[in-house]
Amino acid sequence: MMNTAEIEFLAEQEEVTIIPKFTDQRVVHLIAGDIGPFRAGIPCVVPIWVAKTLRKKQKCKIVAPEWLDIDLLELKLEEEKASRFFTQMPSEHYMGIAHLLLSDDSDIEHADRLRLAIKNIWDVRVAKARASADTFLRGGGRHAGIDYLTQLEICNLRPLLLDALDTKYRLSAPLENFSALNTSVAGSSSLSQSFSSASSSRRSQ
Amino acid sequence: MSWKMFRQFPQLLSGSVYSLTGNRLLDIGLCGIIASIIDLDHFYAARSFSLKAATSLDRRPPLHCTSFWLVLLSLALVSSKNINFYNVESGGNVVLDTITEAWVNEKLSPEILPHKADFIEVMMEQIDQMEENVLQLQKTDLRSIIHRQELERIRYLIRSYLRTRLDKIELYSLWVFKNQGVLSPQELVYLKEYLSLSVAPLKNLCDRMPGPCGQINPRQMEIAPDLETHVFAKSKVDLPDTIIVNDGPREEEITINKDSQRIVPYASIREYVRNNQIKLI
Amino acid sequence: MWGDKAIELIKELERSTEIFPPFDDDKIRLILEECRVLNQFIEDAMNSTFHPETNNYLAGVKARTAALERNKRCLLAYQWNRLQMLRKMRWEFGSILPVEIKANMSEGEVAWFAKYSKALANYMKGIGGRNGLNLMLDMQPPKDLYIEVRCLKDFGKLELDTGEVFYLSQNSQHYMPRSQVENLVRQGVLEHINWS
Repeated sequence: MMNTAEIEFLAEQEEVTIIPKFTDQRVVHLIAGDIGPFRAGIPCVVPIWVAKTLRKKQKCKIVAPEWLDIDLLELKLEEEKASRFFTQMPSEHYMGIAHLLLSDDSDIEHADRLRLAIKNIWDVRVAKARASADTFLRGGGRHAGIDYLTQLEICNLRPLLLDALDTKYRLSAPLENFSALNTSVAGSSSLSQSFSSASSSRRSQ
Repeated sequence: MSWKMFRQFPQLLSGSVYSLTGNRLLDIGLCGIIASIIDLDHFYAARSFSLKAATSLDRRPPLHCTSFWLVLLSLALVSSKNINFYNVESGGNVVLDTITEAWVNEKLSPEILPHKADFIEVMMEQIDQMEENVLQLQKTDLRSIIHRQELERIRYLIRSYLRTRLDKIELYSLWVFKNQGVLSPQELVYLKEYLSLSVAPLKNLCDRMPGPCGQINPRQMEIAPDLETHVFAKSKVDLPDTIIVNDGPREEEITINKDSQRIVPYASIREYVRNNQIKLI
Repeated sequence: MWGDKAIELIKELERSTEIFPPFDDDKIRLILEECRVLNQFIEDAMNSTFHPETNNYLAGVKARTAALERNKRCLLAYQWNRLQMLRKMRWEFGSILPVEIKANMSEGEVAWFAKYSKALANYMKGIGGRNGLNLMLDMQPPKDLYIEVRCLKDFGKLELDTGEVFYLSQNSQHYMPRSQVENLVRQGVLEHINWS
């Protein structure tokens, strides 16, 4: 299973434009690719995680991606509301990127209005996803098309829908097919889940 | 001497700190050839191809003058420090992308997928090399910070990937043993150790039971992943054949196009996931 | 009723509020005693002559065999689940478990844990380059190279890989490399202070 933090980790690899406040002619050969050279005032493209690190050290200004614009987002919202299916989003990680770039001390103008616009789109899409999940479950069938649904939305939907689908299948499938008495889903005992009751009780000592 | 030269010149020319050929044996061979080529200056100085003339020179031939090579070598070292400092083989991209995708697939699939140990090994080498390079920078240097952060990110990826696999190996140990082809050599060693140590406490308990029921029955103890679980999947290619979804008495055939996304039972796309034609999302 | 004690054993494990409840060998002994009685009946039945009307133990044997299997299943589930809990704790606490937990482990579990730790350590040494790869770090995606931490208890001197030395006394705050203090945060020695 994947959680929000892990999907955001992927979103951090997406590119963003920055305006550096320093000059360094040397290209930085990262394992993932080259970035730089950096010339103060001249926009260049780096992965979001680099942008955030530079920003924290006040070495650059982050520029909003083209699609992160109030008017465009409001149009998108209307488009999404009008469509029965999911529309294609300008970025696979639109929500994650918005979250990363529109934090409290963001360089981007009208960050709060942008956050609201994104949230509105998100709400419409998630509501649509839930409604179709409901229809899907009631209608039977074990497969469905979900084009243009983004990873974070899927992550939101996953625990609800897949579990229900799995249970439905188990209840209806003939018993002979089953070594299911001896099956288990890996997510339920994932090592990466923190043993929170253990650590909190230790801290209270 | 020619070994060092051999390493420095490609560095100057191509910006790669790795050997020109990427193969140690070939490196050694080429070193030998260069050393021999240097000796050709004997024939030049003697102005003749006769061995006798070449080996009875009264002065050292031009290419054998040590100072010449020392100067060249120092120039190479000095300039390599200034020009191409970050010597990382290109192609790190593909390896990183493969590992990233493998990580997501492994997190989302019910069973343990074919290992990517070769890619991991290559990436670990690149990480080690980069770490060495970075040590030469000042800690507060912006470039050092960015490099170190990237290294942490990649290490996280690899750790999380291997942990997820270990989780499945331990949970489904008996089942994985029957399907061990997907494991890396180190994982297989680990699985065998884990199996033998894990059966022990269970066996001890069973031994305390009277009569024949006290026998350990591996089939009873085996836990298998639920391959019929549903997953979200995205196809990377147009699939040549339709996939089949078993729905009770019905069988449905679905055509899968490139970039389409679907909810499907994992079992229907199992082979395609294992062959990297479909990825999980 | 046969199998009652076995179910109680499982319920006890599931309902326990402790992180790791003590190994209930007493209840296990009771269950095994029940098994012995069940098994005795079966053996006696096997050794006696069969008569469809007066000496028909078939149903009795079948029922008791099922009860034995049931008890066995519960016992194995009990032990297996406890081992899974210990597995999780290895990842949470490392190879040295807190005293309270160790006190509740059976001898078999202590031995198992030691072997499990060793097998894991061997695996980690064998992967990833020169020094192996410690899989217990980076449990969450890394956000920053350095993090602000507050020390929750007196820990004393901490020397990092880099040679830097920190003196961790209770309530002191430090700006330290995340990867090197992750363990201490997990163990509750340090607390991550979130600025953003």
